[in-house]
Amino acid sequence: MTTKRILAAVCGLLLVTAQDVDANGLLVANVTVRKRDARTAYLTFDISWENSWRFTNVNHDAAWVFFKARQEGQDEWHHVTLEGSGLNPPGYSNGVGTAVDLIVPDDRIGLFVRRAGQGAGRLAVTNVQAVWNIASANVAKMSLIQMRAQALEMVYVAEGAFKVGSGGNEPGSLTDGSWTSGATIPYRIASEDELTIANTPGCLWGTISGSARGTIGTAGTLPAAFPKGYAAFYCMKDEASQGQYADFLNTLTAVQATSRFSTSAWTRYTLSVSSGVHSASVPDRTCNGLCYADAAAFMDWAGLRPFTELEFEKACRGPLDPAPREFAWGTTVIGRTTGILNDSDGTATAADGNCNCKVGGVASNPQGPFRVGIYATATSSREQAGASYWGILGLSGNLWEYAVSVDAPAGRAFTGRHGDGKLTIDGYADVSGWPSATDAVGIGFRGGSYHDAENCVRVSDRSWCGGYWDAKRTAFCSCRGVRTAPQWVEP
Amino acid sequence: MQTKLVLIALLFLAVNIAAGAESDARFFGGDGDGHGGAALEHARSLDGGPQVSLWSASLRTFLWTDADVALEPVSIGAWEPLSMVTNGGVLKICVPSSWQCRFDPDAVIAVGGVAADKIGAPSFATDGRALLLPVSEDFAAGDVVTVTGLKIVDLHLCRAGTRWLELFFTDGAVADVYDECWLQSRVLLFGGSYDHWGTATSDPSVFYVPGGSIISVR
Repeated sequence: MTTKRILAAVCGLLLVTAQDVDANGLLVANVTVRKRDARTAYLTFDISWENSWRFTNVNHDAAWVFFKARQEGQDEWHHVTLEGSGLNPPGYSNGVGTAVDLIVPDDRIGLFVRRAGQGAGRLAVTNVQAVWNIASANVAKMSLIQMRAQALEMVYVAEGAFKVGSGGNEPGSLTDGSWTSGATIPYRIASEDELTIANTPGCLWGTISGSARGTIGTAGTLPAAFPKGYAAFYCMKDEASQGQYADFLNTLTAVQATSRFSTSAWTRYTLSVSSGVHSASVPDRTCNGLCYADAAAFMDWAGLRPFTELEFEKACRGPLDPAPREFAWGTTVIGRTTGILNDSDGTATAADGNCNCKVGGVASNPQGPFRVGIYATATSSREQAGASYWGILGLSGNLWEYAVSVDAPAGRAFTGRHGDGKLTIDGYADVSGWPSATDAVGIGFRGGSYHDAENCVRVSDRSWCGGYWDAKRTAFCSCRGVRTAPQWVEP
Repeated sequence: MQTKLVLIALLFLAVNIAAGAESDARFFGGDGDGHGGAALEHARSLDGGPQVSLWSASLRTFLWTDADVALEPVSIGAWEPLSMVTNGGVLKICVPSSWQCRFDPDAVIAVGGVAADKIGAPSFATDGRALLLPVSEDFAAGDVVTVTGLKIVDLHLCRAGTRWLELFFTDGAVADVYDECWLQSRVLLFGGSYDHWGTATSDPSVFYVPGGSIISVR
């Protein structure tokens, strides 16, 4: 090591090699840091994943990559803000391998790596280079530092009009305000402009109003700043996995991690802590036992935000005309799972079915969360994969999704601000405009879980997304974040 | 002698007829399996209405992510038009009503067939969901027109499944006839093992050196 330092000093830079690599479908490796100038440094890494795609007439997937830096001797990992923004900003390098684009949003919290051109399959690129604004992380330039890169597969949900409400009779479903009874009248959202919520034709409304569970609340407005799903956004391809959540905890201070870690024995929950290090014995399994405060903290830490329930329906249905009572995969065909092969490793495969929920009153087996994306295979159709229009997995069933409700004032006040990578000292999200992590008012639940009947996993079911707030941890909830796409990003 | 033979022959024939011949044509044989068949080449309706058919040259399968799909030649045949395809009318070919795709308005369309001269200039309507073929002369039995060059775009708005092009030649709200060949949309979404998350950490090290030669000593 000493020799290496001397060599680097002579050259004016020092390359840092990767210390650990997760053996996941998505791999990040060979993270290095080297000086660029007095204010910035280069961050270099390799990245690869399977089943990436870009169809420029539909959408693409991308890896959201963000960095944390830690000064030796300190407990805390500091979020890294990048330098520059836009498509392939100056100083950035697209690396060697699959041709990729680097997309740096204006807040420079991280960057998206996506295919530069049309294609599908494995994406692998080495020596991708980003630029770090050194002052953004609270580390001394001359000190020993560690740099951690995190990459999260996300799916681009393209800009465009869509409809909420399926035309079925799901409890509390959104509908056009001309609705009086019976099947809902899908309501078309054609812009991000302010929306009127009222039981009047042409307005957004719900089939339950007042204070009952599933309500849309009272007449009012959804401000222009409330994300309505018309604008493009990136959505996590699946809910957070247990390994992912353990990695999150391991970048927090001890105080923060204690606040965000549940020691309860949730069903099929495998997280544990030893000597301050968190781990999951089944890291690829979806992480349950997360309360809204946990989910919000994760999203803030990752530079993401919660999605709204309007965005949830867009993420499921896309621009297609709704089908009454449809599930996230666009049909009403559903099958539970009777068993899992290789249940405890990353190759876990469902023996049958396309949804982890109760079908006809009978639960899937085993009961509890499954591996993320378990139904998607090398040959699966959308229905078999349980995938949304865009290719997002697990939106129906497995674990509930937290969604900002259009019911309560606290939900309607949501502005879609992104997390900045930093939490409070005690481990809470601190993004202004987000529903409070203390009481969770304004945060509802969409998509159902393994514990629920198939009616709860329908796209337009709002049984638990209005008039009901729950800040407690349960075995049935996980976390999925989104990020508004820069306006200039095309499919 | 001849008279005798004739009488014998007549007698033999009469006996055979009376008794039921056992060596007549019912008992003859030859090659083949004794089965034959014939069918209408194109579909006909059974309701006594006009007999008009729509058929593509072959079945067509596409992926929802395809940018566009060139359709096979599409033909319209009038077998018994019953004065329903007449001068001033319109033959309207539509994309499947339950799909949100449309015809490519930039496609170069050609009309051929024995009745091509009974069709005016084709055009697209209903935001590209319909191809209009104006009829300039009454169709007679046996008239056929064939449209080539059609393309479908916005395939990403098609749900998975099998659908048929639709032909309207009356003013009905539903298609008068459907294509005899289907279009099939396949919506595939692949996945594999593990989760969608990766992380890696660099070794602890000094990365910043202000210039010149500095040796870091711990």
